[in-house]
Amino acid sequence: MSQKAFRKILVATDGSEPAHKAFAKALALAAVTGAELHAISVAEGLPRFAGTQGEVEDYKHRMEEHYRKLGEKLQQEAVKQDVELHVHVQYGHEIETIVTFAKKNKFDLMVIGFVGHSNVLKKLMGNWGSTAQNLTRLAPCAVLVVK
Amino acid sequence: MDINWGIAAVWVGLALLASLISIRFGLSVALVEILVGIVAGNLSHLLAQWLGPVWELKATEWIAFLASFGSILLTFLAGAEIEPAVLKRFFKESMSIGLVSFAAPFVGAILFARYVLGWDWYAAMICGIALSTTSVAVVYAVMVETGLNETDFGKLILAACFITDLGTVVALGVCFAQYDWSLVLFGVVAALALWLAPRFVRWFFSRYATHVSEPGVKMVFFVLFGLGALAMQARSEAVLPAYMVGLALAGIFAHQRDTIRRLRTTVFALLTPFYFLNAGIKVRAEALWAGLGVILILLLLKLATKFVGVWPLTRAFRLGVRESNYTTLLMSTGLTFGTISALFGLTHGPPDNPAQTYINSDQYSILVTVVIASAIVPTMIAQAFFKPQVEPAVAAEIQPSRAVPEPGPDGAVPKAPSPNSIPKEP
Repeated sequence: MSQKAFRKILVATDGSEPAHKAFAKALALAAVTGAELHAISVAEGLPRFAGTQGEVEDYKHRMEEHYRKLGEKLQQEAVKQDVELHVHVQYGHEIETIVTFAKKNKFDLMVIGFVGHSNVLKKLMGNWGSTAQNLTRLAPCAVLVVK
Repeated sequence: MDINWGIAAVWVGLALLASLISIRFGLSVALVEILVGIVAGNLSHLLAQWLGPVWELKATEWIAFLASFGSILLTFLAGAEIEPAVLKRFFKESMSIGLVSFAAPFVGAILFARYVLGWDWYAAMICGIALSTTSVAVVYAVMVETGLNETDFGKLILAACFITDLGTVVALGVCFAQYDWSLVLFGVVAALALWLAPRFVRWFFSRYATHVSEPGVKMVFFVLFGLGALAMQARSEAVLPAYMVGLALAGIFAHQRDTIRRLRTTVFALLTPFYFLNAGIKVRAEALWAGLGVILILLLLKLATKFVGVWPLTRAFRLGVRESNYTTLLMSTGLTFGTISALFGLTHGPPDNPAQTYINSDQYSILVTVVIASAIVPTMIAQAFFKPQVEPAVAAEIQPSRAVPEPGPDGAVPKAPSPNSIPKEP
């Protein structure tokens, strides 16, 4: 594989098993190509129409803690492969946020899991993930969907 | 007082169901608890008609106490969440926007309820208070998702929301109070307590905060209950001193995040489910059907009066049209304080007629439904059409760690450095 095939790789991760498979592939690609590797997680699911500010605060705190631990775990894996990993956690709608981030930072390749961001119902229906489909459709760069 | 564990199991079971639904659909647990309460209350009402009154789901004395305790602590926590520095920084803007945001729907809804709907003055005032609110929680959640909570614009809106809610609790406290010596006593003691509380509680927390029996939390409960008792004596409402004490202690609790977190867990697990379920159980489905037109009109009235009051001010403070629309819609939301006001109206009555309550069951059902709709409709419109263009909110960034160095001459690999951490919430 050419050293210049990919200069910047973005992997979307939410801590799920499929997302971790995607991360492993992205990490291997970055190690081979020497590309800059970024991981993005989208913290969504803040309670809508909240009754108390504490409810939102508490959820926010837990979510940030979850992604902090996830980010640290991924970085430990990256360090073992001698790859520098930049971890980003943003609030917002997952597809909109990931696509906007990819556009803004001019990535060459986006690596995503097969069903990592999809809900249980869609998995049961055999749908290969509306999130993965939408990301593939809207991404401004090449997309690698990892099964 | 007999404790019926069967009744307790039913209520806690409903609270559990609401929690699971809220997690599954990403909705506020408070909102789902009200909705579960509405469904369970009406279902039990039907069962009671067929199978006997034992099936009617009602708040017993101890449930009413827990619900009331929950509403006081909710109000206290709402007050304690404010950042005094932000309020000071945006004092002029937040005070004017917040007060108008309270006053416009308050006056508009009172006049509409009195002269168009024909409600009596007491009921009209409850209507005005219930519709005057702004949900800080709804606004805050939207702000966090959009990242606006970190901007001056977002902080201004949040500060204005606190002022609006302050107007609501003051109105609830003074509109129905009995103007005699008991109110004077309450006023004097409350003023003294609010003046002394910050210094005393700061000292108390520094001395006892780390103990497992939470003396600091008990001290806050003591102050809230004491002032609540005096407020009730004056026929005022216990949420008024609770909110004021929260505001007074906000600066201290900003440095006691762990205590606040533990308090929240207790409140949300044990107390607020009883409050929100109880608020929902009292809503009658037949009243909603009969009052559908009134519900729609009152919702539109709330939106219209907020627009008349807030929108010109936001423009005067040089917010863009999009931001002004967004601000006004977010300030049209409401949930917790709206239900607290409506529930107060349903459970209290004029001193000269103890058998009567300020509002009847039909009026309560209508008001709570309008309040619930006001949490949902303006938020959805604001998010769909007027979301300001801002950078996505960054929850965290972790910079890369150094790669593992090559093995040294002795073959030993130096220990990998630990990754940089996201700065923890202060």
